[in-house]
Amino acid sequence: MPPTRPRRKVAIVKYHAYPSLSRRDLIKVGLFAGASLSLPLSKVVAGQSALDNRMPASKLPVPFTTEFTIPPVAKAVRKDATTDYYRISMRATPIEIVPGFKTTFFAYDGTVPGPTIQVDQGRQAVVRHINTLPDVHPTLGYEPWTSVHLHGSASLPQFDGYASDITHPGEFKDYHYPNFQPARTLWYHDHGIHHTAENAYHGLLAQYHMFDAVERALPIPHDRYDVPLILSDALFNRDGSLLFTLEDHSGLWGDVILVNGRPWPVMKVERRKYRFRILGAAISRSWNLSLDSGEPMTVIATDGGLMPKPQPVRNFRVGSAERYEVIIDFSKYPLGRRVILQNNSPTNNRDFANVDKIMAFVVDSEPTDLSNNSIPDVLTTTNPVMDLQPSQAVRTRQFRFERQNGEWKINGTSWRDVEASDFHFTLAAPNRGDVEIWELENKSGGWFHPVHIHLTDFKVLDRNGKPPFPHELGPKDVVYVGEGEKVRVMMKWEGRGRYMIHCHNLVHEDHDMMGQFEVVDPDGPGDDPMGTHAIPNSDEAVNPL
Amino acid sequence: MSVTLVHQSDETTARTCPKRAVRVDIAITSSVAAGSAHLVAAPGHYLWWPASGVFFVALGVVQLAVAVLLVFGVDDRRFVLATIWGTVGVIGIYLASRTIGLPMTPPVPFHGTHWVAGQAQVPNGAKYVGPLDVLTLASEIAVVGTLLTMLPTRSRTRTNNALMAIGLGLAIAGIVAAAA
Repeated sequence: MPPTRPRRKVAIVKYHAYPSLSRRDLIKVGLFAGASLSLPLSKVVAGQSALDNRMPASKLPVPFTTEFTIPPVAKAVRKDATTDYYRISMRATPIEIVPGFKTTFFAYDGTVPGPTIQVDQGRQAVVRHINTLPDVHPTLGYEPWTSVHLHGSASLPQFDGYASDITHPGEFKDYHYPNFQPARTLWYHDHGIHHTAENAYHGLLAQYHMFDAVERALPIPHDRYDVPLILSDALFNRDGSLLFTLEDHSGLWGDVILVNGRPWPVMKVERRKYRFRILGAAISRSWNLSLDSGEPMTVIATDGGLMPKPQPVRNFRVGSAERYEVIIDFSKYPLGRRVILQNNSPTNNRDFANVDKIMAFVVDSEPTDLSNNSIPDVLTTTNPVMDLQPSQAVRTRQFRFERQNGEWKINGTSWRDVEASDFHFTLAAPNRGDVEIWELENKSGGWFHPVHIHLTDFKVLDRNGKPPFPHELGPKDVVYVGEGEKVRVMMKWEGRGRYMIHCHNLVHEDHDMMGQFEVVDPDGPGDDPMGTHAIPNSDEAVNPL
Repeated sequence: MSVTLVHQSDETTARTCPKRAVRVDIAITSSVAAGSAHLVAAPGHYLWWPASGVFFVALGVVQLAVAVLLVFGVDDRRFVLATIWGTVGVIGIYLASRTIGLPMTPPVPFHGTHWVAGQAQVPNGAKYVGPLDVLTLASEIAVVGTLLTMLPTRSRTRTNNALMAIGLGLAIAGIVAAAA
């Protein structure tokens, strides 16, 4: 026999002949699989089932049947040589929006929106915000702690409504406002960590008007022809309570449009010009506003006050927290004409039957006063932020607004990172006095982000390399970063200390698309944003305002 | 382990090596998917809590290793059982994190109260369930289901009965929670 060649040892696989699962086996393992998958997914489905409990459309208010109202003006409890003092109490308040139902809101001084605070530039204000809300929200089950942000004010860090600087039910805090900036439409609203959306949705928001000599000298509409329009939306349960659902933390979109807290109201106007201070105050909804007549409106001011020149527009986009002062000329219409302010929803909003309508104006009478009834070609030449030029910038910073594995992040970080760092982690640390360009980018096609940078006014330089929209040609503190957009803004840093930057879709903000930056001053650190604590309401007597 | 050693030429080996059952291919693919998903999610979890990031990396590596062992034909009963129950444990941790919360995760203190990070995005809400979560969970269930077929009849029946009991328990808990 010939010698056999030694064979190489090779490991090979041998698979058992596995029998298939029997029908009974499949049922058993199927039960396990079904239960395992449905438990977490039931949380997602819960968002849908919450909408199932929505008030039927037949019971909702009929558009243009409710009278327009203007929020009351807050009265100072006292004044001294430099300062006006206000005392505002947050409390649960029943209000009828849906006919036949009382809905419990959280209201500043019992009104939704809260009272408008009006101040003159140069006079400081101290506002005592008293949290007398219930210890636990009756249906949502959270503790309604608060933090009040005066949006548009260059307040000190400890009075800026820092999200984690919260006031619990049963406590109050005095907020000091400097009021040195140019005239503008500001607004105050809740900013309490993780519950800003709930609290603002329940009514904790109001306007704050600051006037100055430049604005008062203009022949634009003033006083009773200068009207706030606070746009928001709401969903209602079948029992009339507010329906709050987060759609997987994407946002909250209502089927009832509210203007100054009234559903689709009708305002009677004279045949003359009116100035409207429009505030996008919805939790998530953005708006594209136009008149059904097709006539233009004239934008005269943005978040940070007067624009250099008026901008006539036939429609314009408004994101959450943006403010636009707009003049509508009703002298163009005959008596009795109804003009509808309408909404052509921007992409990625959730639309319902009547959200394309906002309110109606009925031209009701001839003008009783024709003073301050024009729009000058130049509105202001003194707003420093609008004079900034890109050549002045010493630095450009990038900020990406994105969703990573279900979490809202800025540059891959969130407020959790700020909390974990004992509130020291910052996304940027610009030097006081520096001019910088910030690039705000949203690569997503699925969401828009109205981005708010606290403390500062900025100038919008461009959007995807193209000039900003005409209505954005004024000082801003919120900019709409739409789907696939990169927006460049420029600012000069003043003040010092840590301030927030976040998406103003309040659901995104709460979960946790928020970070902070620190303005660094070589002369010393800024005040601690958590450094002034709330005080128990029982101690108010020993802490007089 | 049932790896068989034979003496034959490479050509013979290639000819006679039995083909893997499709369900083993599914188990391999599912384990790779689950392992990869855990590795992808590890950096984000590390930022929140380093221990969870390390856990995700370790879990991802183990799930990839299971896939490799399956490729090489390892089908020992103890290995299969360990993989099944290990995967069931991982599924259990995930379900707890998305429902009742994990007690061992670190609290994130802020201003006089605390928020149990990882338990929920908000104190009284559920943590986000995203596409990656669903993909991973489905892959792990597929691993369990396909590995069941690799068990001898008696062991398979016992394991499957236990899984059914767990499934029933989860269903009842879900119904009770929904009713509450």
